[in-house]
Amino acid sequence: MKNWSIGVRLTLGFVLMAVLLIGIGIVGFAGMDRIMAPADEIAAQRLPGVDSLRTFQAMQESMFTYSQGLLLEPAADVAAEYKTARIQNNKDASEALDAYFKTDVDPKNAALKSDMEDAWAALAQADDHVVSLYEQYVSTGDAKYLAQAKAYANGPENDVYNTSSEVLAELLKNELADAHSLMAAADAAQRNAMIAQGVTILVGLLLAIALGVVITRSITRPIDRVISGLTAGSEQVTSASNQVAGASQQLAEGASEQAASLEETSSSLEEMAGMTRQNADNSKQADNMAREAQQVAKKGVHSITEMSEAIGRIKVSADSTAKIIKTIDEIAFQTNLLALNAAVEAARAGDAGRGFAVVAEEVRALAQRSAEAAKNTAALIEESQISADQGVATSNEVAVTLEQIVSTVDRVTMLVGEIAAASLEQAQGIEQVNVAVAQMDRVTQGNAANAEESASASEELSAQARELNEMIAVLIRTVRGAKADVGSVGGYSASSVGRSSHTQRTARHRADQPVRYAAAPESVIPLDDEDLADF
Amino acid sequence: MDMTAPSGREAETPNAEAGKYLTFSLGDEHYGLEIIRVQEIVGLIPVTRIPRLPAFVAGVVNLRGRVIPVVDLRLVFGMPASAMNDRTCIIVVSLDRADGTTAVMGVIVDEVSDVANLTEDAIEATPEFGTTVDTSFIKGVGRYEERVVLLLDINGVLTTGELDELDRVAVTNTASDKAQEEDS
Repeated sequence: MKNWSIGVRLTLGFVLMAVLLIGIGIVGFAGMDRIMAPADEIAAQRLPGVDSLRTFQAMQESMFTYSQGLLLEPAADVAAEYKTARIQNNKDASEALDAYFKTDVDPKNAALKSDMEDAWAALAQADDHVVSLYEQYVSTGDAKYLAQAKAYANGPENDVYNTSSEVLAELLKNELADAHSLMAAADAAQRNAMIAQGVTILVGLLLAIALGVVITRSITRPIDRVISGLTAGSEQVTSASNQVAGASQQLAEGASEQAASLEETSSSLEEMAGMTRQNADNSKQADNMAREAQQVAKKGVHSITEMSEAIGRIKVSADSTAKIIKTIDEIAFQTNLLALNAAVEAARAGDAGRGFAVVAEEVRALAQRSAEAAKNTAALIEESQISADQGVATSNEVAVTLEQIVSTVDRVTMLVGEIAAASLEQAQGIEQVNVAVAQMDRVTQGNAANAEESASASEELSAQARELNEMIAVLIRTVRGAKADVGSVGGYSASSVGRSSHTQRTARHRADQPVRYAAAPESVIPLDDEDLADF
Repeated sequence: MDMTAPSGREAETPNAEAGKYLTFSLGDEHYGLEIIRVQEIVGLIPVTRIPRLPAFVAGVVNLRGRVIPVVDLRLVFGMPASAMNDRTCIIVVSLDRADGTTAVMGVIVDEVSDVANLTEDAIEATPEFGTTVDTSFIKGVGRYEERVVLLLDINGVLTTGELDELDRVAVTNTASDKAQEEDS
């Protein structure tokens, strides 16, 4: 059923209603038929039968009138008239009885009918006998016959008549009872038919209501769902368009800030590029200077080596000199000893050795002076040796230091080269970053334009949401009727319209936003000089 | 120890006379020796050590064919043995023995300084240190060129026993004189 279209559902509903109507009609017809059958029987059989019986009864009564009238010895013409009328009367009575027999086919009356036939035949015979006795009286004039006729009429004929009347009454009673039972049957059939009709109508009504409700609900429920979905959708669209409007506003602001930042970034990048280029140049110069320094340090190492050798030679010379000085010192010592011995000899010689003693003294003095000089020279030489040693050590240290300088400068050169390369790469990177920033700038401008577009799109979106709300209202009116629930939806639509108008306002506000923002501080906080003067 | 008991050594010890003294040094101290006692001063020449002799006897030297005993004066004076260097000298002195003969002996000193002419004024008597201190080998104290010079009595430096030991060396080494000459 869910997959059926509304047309199919409605057609099906109406078809089902038609089927219900046909059913109700069939039940009604059947009831009428059941009512009509006993009525027909009453009308077509029982009433004519009763009529015939009543006619027969009347004929039977009037037969007595004619036969008893004859017994009262009327005039001849009247008697003739009576006779003729009596024959006609009896004939009519037989015809009426026959007519009754024709109509009545009830088998339970079969015995009564034959009794009736017999009784009538007996009565007619008895009456004929009375009349024949009368005829004999007339023809003979004998009063006996008349008396016999009267006696017979009051006796047997009367008994026969009574019997016939009883049977007739019985028949009439039966007929009336049948008619009553038929009437009762007709009443019952009518009641049944009415109940059946009522039940059928009730069931049909209930079915029709249920069907109507089901079909209506099956139609309105999806539509309600659609309406609620559309309502929620339009609400969401409205709020989404508001959000889009706000977001596009923020986006526009962000884009402008971003553009400003990008400009700053661009200028910073320019500065950075300049600095990087300068760095590269400086590092190149530093590289050259480091190379020169390396050369100088290498020369220094060479010179220091030469100097070391020179100092070594000085040391060797000093060593030789020290040896010579030592020899001189030894000679002086020996001379001193010799002088001392000479002095001793001179002393032992006494006065004779006095002059020799003087000479020995002089020699000793000379030896001591030369020893002193040798000692001084040795001290000096020693000092110069120490100095040479220190010089060698120092020059070695200097050489090591210079080697370190050379290796350091090597590393410095390498590092400076790397710095130069890195600066170059950095400069290229900054160029790329610059390009990227320019691209970002373009993108940001595109973003601003897109934000504007999305603002207008959100405005359009809110207008469409408003239209959608109106359409939903129409749909609700169509589905639920002019009054039902349209108020709430109308309220909603009114609110959504208000919201959309707000959106429009936001859009408009966004359109002339910079001016309003510029005007905002004064309007929000009016800080005039007069206000400040109050303080 | 009787510090107060007077000593009769004053008379025995001859006083130092004015005259020429050969001055030498042992460590920081300066000593003087009468020039009469000095025969010769030689530089340090190889000293042959002789076993089983007192420690102060450094050995014998061959002095121009003459084998003479040599004592280390530092050891004699109870000082640590001298470090031999190019200033170390051997002073050859003559001793007067008790029997009137003279003996020749080498004395190792640190350094020979001068031949000093000491006047009477420059010579003081040996100061008294008490009876327990034997100062018999010091004849006096001389002043020379701002220095104090202990004037030695070379005869008193070595006791008689010590001199006998030296004689024994001289005797025992007479046989080895030839061999020593060949060695040198």
